[in-house]
Amino acid sequence: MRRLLVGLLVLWGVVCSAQSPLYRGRLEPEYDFRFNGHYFWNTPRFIEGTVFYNGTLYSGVPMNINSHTRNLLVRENGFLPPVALERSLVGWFEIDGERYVNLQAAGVAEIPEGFYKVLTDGHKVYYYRRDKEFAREVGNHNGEKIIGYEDPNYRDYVLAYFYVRDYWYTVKKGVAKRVRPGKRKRASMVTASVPEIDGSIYEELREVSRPAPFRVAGDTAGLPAGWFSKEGPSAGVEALMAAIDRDNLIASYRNKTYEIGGATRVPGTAVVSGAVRDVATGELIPGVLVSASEGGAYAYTDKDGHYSLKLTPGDNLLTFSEYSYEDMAIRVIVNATGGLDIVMREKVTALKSAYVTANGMADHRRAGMGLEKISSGTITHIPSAFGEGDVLKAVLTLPGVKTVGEASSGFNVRGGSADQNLILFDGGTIYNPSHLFGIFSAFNTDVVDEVELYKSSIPVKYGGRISSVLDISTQDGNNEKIKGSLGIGLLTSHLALDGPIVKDKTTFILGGRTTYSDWLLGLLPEKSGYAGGKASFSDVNLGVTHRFDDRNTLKVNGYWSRDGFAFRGDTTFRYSNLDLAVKWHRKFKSEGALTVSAGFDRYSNTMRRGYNTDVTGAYELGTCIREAYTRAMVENPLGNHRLTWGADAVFYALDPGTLSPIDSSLVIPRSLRTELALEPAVYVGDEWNIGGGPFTLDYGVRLSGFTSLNDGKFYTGPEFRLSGKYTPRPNLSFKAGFNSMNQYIHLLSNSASISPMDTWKLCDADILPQKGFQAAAGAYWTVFGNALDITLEGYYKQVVNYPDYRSGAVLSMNENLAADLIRTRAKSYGVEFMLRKQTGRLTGWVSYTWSRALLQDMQNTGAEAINGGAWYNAPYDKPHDVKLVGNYKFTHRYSISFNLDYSTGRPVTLPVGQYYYGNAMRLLYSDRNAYRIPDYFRLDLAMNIEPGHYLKAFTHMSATFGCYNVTGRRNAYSLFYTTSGGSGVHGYMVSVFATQIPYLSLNLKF
Amino acid sequence: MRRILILSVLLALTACIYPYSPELPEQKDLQVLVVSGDIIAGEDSYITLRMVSPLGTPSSATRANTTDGIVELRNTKGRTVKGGKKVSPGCYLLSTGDLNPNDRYKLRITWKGHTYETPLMKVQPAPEITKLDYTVDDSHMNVRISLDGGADLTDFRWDFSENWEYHAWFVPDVMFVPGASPNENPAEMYREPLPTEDYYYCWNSREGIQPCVASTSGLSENLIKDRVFHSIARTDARVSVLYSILVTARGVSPECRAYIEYQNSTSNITGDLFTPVPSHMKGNIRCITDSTRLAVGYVEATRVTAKRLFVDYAGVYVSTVNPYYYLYYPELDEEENKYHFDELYAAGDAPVYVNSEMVPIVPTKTNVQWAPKWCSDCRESGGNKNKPEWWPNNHK
Repeated sequence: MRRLLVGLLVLWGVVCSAQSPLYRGRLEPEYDFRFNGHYFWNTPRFIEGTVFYNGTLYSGVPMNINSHTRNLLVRENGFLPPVALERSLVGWFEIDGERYVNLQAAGVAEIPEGFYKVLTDGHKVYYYRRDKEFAREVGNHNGEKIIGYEDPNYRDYVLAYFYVRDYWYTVKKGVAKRVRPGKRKRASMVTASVPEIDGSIYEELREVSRPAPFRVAGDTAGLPAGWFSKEGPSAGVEALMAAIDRDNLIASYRNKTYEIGGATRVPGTAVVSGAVRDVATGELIPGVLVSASEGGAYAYTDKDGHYSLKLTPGDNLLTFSEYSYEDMAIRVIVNATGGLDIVMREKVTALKSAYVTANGMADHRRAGMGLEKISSGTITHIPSAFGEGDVLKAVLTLPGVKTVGEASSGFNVRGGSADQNLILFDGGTIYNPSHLFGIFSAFNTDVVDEVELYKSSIPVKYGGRISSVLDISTQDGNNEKIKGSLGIGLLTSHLALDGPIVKDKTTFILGGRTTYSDWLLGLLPEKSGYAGGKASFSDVNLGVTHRFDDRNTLKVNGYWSRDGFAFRGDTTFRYSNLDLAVKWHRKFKSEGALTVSAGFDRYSNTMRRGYNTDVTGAYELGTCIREAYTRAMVENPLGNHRLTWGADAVFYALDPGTLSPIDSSLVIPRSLRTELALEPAVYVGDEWNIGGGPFTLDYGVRLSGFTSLNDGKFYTGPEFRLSGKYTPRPNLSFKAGFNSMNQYIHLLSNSASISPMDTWKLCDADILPQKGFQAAAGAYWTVFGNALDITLEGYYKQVVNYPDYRSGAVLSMNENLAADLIRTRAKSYGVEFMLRKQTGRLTGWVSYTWSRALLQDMQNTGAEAINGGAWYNAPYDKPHDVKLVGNYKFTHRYSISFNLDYSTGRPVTLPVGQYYYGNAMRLLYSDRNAYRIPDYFRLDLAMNIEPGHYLKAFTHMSATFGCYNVTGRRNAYSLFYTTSGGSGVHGYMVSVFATQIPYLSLNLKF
Repeated sequence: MRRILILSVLLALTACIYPYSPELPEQKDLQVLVVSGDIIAGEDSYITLRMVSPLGTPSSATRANTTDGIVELRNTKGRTVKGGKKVSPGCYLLSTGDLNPNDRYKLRITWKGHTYETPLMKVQPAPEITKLDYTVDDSHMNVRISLDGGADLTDFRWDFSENWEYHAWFVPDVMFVPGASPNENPAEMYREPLPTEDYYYCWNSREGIQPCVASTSGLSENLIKDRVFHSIARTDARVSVLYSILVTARGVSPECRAYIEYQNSTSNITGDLFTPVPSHMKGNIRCITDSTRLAVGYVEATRVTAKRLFVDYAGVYVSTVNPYYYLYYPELDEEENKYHFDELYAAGDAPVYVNSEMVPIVPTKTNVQWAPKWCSDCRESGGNKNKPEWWPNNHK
């Protein structure tokens, strides 16, 4: 095993060290080999020529023309990537004896930007520009947008391509005039839009132009005299590259200036707001970093793709960046408050597709700490049991996130219990996030857009849980056409559809999953013990998004799930989640945005216990929690400040238990009193970039309250959020943070894993709210050309009033529940280290966490206290934790994914002695959680085959096959001892996935 | 494909629980007192003192790990009602006679210089055993109990003990005399059975392994109805002739019932995903001279009722044994020209039938059929010839 670990680490190091060589200048987007054809004017070959750049003549410069971006490319040598010259600084250039000119730079009016070849038919001088425009089909595969195709030999499988447009101009008196194809017969063929063909358009041009062929013009008709002068200092390519380095400091990425707010500049500040959309689909893009070059202001687009940025009037350069889109820089002249909607182009550099959305550079701009983002594409590439992409299993690969066992429902963040995580699905609270007793999570990855986990600096808009917030958002339906996907796995199938309802106005997305595990369990032999078992689940998601106008969007989301299972015996379990949410997002005309949402969540579970013969005790026991909520939030940028303020209110109606007799049972129908409570909160927060410098503070306060409507008990308390960052260099930052939280609802459980019959309990006069704080600090360093993020974070967390249970506690139908609970003090601390590689063929991360999570009885003392009142291990205390997650793409179609997980075994309570009591052997148990199960280790591998995108194909199929737990290690879930009818003590180990689990998953897109 | 699917699920679901013997936790000083037994009003009460044994100790040694102390019963006023009389190592008899239902009592134990006490307890009433019967399904005989707690009693405990009569499969024609004839002379090594050597019928008994508990809390009446608490396979020898089960039921406090229930569950847990995490649950015995000293056990003051059930084999027992399958004629060892009768007997076999038409029968080396001893001697199956006095038939 050690050899394997060393090998993997060495491999990781080798790959990570293979960084791109240093280069100077601005890289052009790489379209090579992923399109049918290329984007160069004539040939992909770089040919040495002469260029007149910024007043200097450079010779022997390898050049080519990007007809797509209309840029002149220069390649310093064959090993370095080509870089683009700032077009406005290029006067003219010659390649292979042909002359090209920048007519805009020459002062020609009414001429589009670009370079023009100078030609003549012997009579007139023509200026000819060749554009290659981009056309494509976009396949959405497992949430990852696939564009282009890597292998040029697969010409039939075209997904994206360029087509050519030609433009001809003449220049008269400094004004350009386009030569229309319809007016010139001989040009009609060459000016039509034609698909890319081999050979030179110029050659065709000469063919059709007989007997008066065009030729290279030598004169300068219509241009300033001496424009093509070769006088002046001359230098080589080295000097040119040095000049590019310097000039790029002032060159804009897009040579276009936008004027915002009319012609009159107003004093003070102005707000620029707008939406960012995908150029191809029109979908709004969340999470785009919008930053200004002046003043350091920045903002992120919200979940609805909107941003709002406060700027000082004047010139500014706005940069838009998101991991899967090409960076966009726009020069703006801000005169007053106004709007600026932007479209971004998806990256086509598939081999450099990002793996994790938590962009390293974005981490340097954000003051908050401990935010992890995972895209749906990442989720589907992490190997999992039975091949089903799983949100929670992906979350578990992140540092600081642990679980008590591999088939358990909950997860633990930085030493917190499972119920201390607020799990939001489109704003609705999910109380049981699992299917099939924890093997699958409750979230359908077909519809999941992005997963955000806040484990440290929890934004002030969130509250109600101590440890973390897991915010899962679903996708909007696409605006183009009805699309769908169908997946078939070993135990489950899933179907998703999305598309427009009203073009450019209303879209929908619908997803559903179900399982056929009943059928498979029925195939099991009798001796397996599961032959009579039943286990099934299904869930449905529906989302509708309506865009009233550019500033108003309404979203309606619904989610429903149900689970049921019974293994042997006469006891069956059922539980169900229901969430309905409506959200209205309004972008203010002046500045900021308002988000108002409301919803209803319901979680219910039922246990039906019959007695085969003794019907007197047969019963059905159900619990239910309902919550209705409303939230309003305003985001408001003010100079270097970004204010967030709002109010929440959650109304709870919790039925702790309803007992009903079955048939002729003597059980008295009984219901515990419904607990009613209101949890309001108001909050205000601000992110303040101090003086536009390297210091940024994120601070706020949330005043939350809780009123039990049963006994009138009222709790309240402020929750403080403070985090700050210092960024001495753009790629290096240091952060520290503190946040305090209150929690008014608790999950009471005496099992290691969340079970369907665990009881949710609201605070009352006897059960106090949990209160806690977390202090954290970290360093973030992005190196190797933004390819590698190095993160080190440490934290200390303390919570009071965490409810642990007494031995033998009865948590169901207990009217005096507080008597069976013990208030404890919890503390946890740790250090998390992570290396994350986001570009290249190999992407992924490796992390190591050292942490502790401890509890202490704060209610009793001496022998009556748990473990005599000493600190004891929390059930989820796993000090050492190593995770390695990666994806290596051989080609765009073929990739392998791997996932390695090692952790210290979790604490357990073991017997330390035995005694005879009555007629039976009994066990004397140790102090609580004094021992540990064996360490956990698991390696998963998967091979992913992406679809072959035939342009005209209706469907695209992808497949994933892999193996969960490749080494077949019998990881212990728990240890237990039995006295086997008094004959002796026997130890056993429960292992949930005790062997290799091969799987195959097929997905069909249409 | 279908095979792969099934295989994957099989692997995942059937290979879940393994015997596991981790390095045992370091043994602490296990000077932990274990007190078992109840104060039974109107009857003799036995209180047993034991100590906790290290994990892995043999069962018999664990059971024998008794310890001596001073046991006494006190009342509300602190007066000693009755002192315990040691009847065997660690076992003390408290002949309390009837106890005052209006008083409260506590057990006081002095052990190794420390004093342990229960809280003062009122005497719990006994439930009425309204029915004790059995049902038979395809594979098992299920013993059921119905209890009535009257107006106030909500928590019950009952224990049971079993007695059963069974028989051997053959009545042997001859008995073997081991070592009597090295030269294997049939006249010397075989003899007729004596009248006292009737090992056809035997009796056996067993105590219930762990107490059964139930509660009527939450029910409309304090009734436990037809609760199956014991099952015996229909092929079990216990029901092959006559079976008897004696149930003694007593009322207990809800805390005592919870304690026993927890003990039962944590000693035989399944370790599945939703099983409560086991831990040590304190009983009602505290060391009042050193609060850090641990004691185990829950002593209750109560009354008991009893009921006995007999089950005849008819309609219950299903024999799966074919005794004739085990009969054989010893074979001659041709190399040594011997039959090795002594070795056969030492290995657990014995003569059964003499295949002879002569009267009286004359055994030879070749006409005596042998079989395992249990076929002809019921004692070999664990029982004995001690027939209870109250046994209702006249078998000997």
